[in-house]
Amino acid sequence: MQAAIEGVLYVLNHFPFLFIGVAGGILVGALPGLSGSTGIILLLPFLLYVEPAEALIMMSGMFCGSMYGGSISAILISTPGTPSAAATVLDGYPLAKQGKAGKALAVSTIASTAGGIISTLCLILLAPQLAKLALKFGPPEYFALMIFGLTIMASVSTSSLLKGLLSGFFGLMLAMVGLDPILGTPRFTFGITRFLTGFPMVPVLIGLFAFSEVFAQLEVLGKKAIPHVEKVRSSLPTLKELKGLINVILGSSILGTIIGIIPATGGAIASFMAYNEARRFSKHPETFGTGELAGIAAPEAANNGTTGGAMIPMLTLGIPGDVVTAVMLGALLLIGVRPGPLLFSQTPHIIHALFAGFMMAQFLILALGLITIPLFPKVLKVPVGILYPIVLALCFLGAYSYGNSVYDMGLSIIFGLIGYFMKKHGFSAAPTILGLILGPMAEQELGRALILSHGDWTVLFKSPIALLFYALACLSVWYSIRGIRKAKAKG
Amino acid sequence: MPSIGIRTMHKINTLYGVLTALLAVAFFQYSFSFPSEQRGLDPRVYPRFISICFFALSVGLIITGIKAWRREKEERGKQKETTSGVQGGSQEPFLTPAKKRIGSMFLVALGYVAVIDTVGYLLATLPFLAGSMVLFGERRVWRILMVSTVSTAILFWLFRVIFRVPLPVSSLW
Repeated sequence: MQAAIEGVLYVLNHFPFLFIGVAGGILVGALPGLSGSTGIILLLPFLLYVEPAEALIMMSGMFCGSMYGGSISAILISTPGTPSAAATVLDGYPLAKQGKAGKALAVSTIASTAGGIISTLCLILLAPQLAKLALKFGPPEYFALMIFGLTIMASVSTSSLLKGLLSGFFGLMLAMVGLDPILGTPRFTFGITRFLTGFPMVPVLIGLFAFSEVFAQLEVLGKKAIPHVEKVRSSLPTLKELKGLINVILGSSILGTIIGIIPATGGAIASFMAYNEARRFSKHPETFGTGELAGIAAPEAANNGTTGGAMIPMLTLGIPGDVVTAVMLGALLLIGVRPGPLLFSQTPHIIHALFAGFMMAQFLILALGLITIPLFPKVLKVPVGILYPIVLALCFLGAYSYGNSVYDMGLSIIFGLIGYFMKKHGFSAAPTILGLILGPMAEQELGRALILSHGDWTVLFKSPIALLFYALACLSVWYSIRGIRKAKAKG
Repeated sequence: MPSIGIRTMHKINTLYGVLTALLAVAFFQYSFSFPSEQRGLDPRVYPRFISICFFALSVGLIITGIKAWRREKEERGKQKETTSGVQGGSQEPFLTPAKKRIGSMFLVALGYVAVIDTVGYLLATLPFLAGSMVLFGERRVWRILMVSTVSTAILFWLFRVIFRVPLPVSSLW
């Protein structure tokens, strides 16, 4: 209890960090083209100069805020700000066209807050238990866990499994450049001294996620002409309407949290599943798609429900649950915070601050969301001619600040172009990042396991926990293949 | 992002497959220069395993690309037989305005990185921001001047003064 109070007091003392995270998250989530992962990358230059707990609070705010923010553009301009808000378009935009955009946004805000609160409670209750279990892991178990983590590459692949795996292995190849993690001998430097330190994470992250998006926006410049809801009046749902939504919100929040815990799923899957379930259990399923409030509440409660869930494997095991947590994991490693069970036992104050920050972020979303509803159409009107050049300048600062090196700025722009071509030709950048983060960890754990066993490879398959992770890895690959085949069959 | 024609995509997949396969071969070849170590993990094992997997995936991409390309060719041949004389859609020019914009942005960014150490953060960022705004379609001069000046000043103050980041300073004077 005392720890919880200390956590809350810490967040209150560092409230501006939470506010910047949540408000910034809502903004990047609302703007189509920018997402939670880009938001965290834009925070990078600032994260390097604040305390780890403050950085975590800011990132958590950004994560939750961006997940909610995606619904704003989904409702107002029929364009989901983030993939997780795609299901919200189905009923949100029709309701906005009926002149009830204010009510749609209010329902989305309330449902997002409820989803976030339930998933934060699960995070607070489950994460410490899982961390205790993870303390018993040795190198073979960690290696198996990393293999399981790497199979997420297949799941975060977009349309083609082959391209997703190739992108992931590209990340693993990039991660091998530099010094051998065990012997310290140079490898794949091709005679270039700069390559001795490998490819620094910050420029690669900034390039693949942020610069590539700027290039992509340049390609579609002037092509979008979406009917825009110009004015929105604040309009809260009535008590009767809210009462009718309670079951949908609770059910979807729990569903979202469970899906969030499963690595490689994420908000998009959760929101569509929740939408389908809400329609299935509705007394009037025919009203879905025409501006039904439950059709907004279900996906929004579910996608915000995934936020706390996705943090559980990331914080306790160092396995990202989705793309945003993968970027967050990279950012945490940069500021010297290594997620895992030791984070809970050695630096509990950081964890308590994070839990408190996560919970308070939900209430901040509720307050900011409801108060600023009339401002949302103006936010969506920010000229791209101002927005993206500033994004570029911030990205360059982020790349420079990490090592005070102009070389890193150059590297980020090169990776930006690589990321743009990858995106344009159906290769996702997310598996590359996973490969880049998890590859060296897997190699290190494999090396440690083999040193401890004097070169006996069977040590990798002796532990029941390791075997469980291998089984989960196989299941994850099978699930991804099935998902892609299903999507192809649907056309 | 605009979709690419299926035919072009097959060609691109094959091209990507060839490029990545070459990269895999280069990495595999390089691994022969690593020292051998008997205790624990041999430093050559992991890189070779990754290179082989990368190569196999690249070959997979080449095969699927060529297969789809051939299938497409056959189908087009059949279509030509049945609808002889009917022409396909017009060919898109190689250098589209979008490609020009992206190419220019890349060059402007590279130029920025190239001169920042010499002219300093302030003098390099101001024209860079202005140029980027123009590339993003902004035409109002007063807005370009105001936004680029104000944002450069704010970013400089924030990072140089508050965060004490040693931003590049001009070496010219």
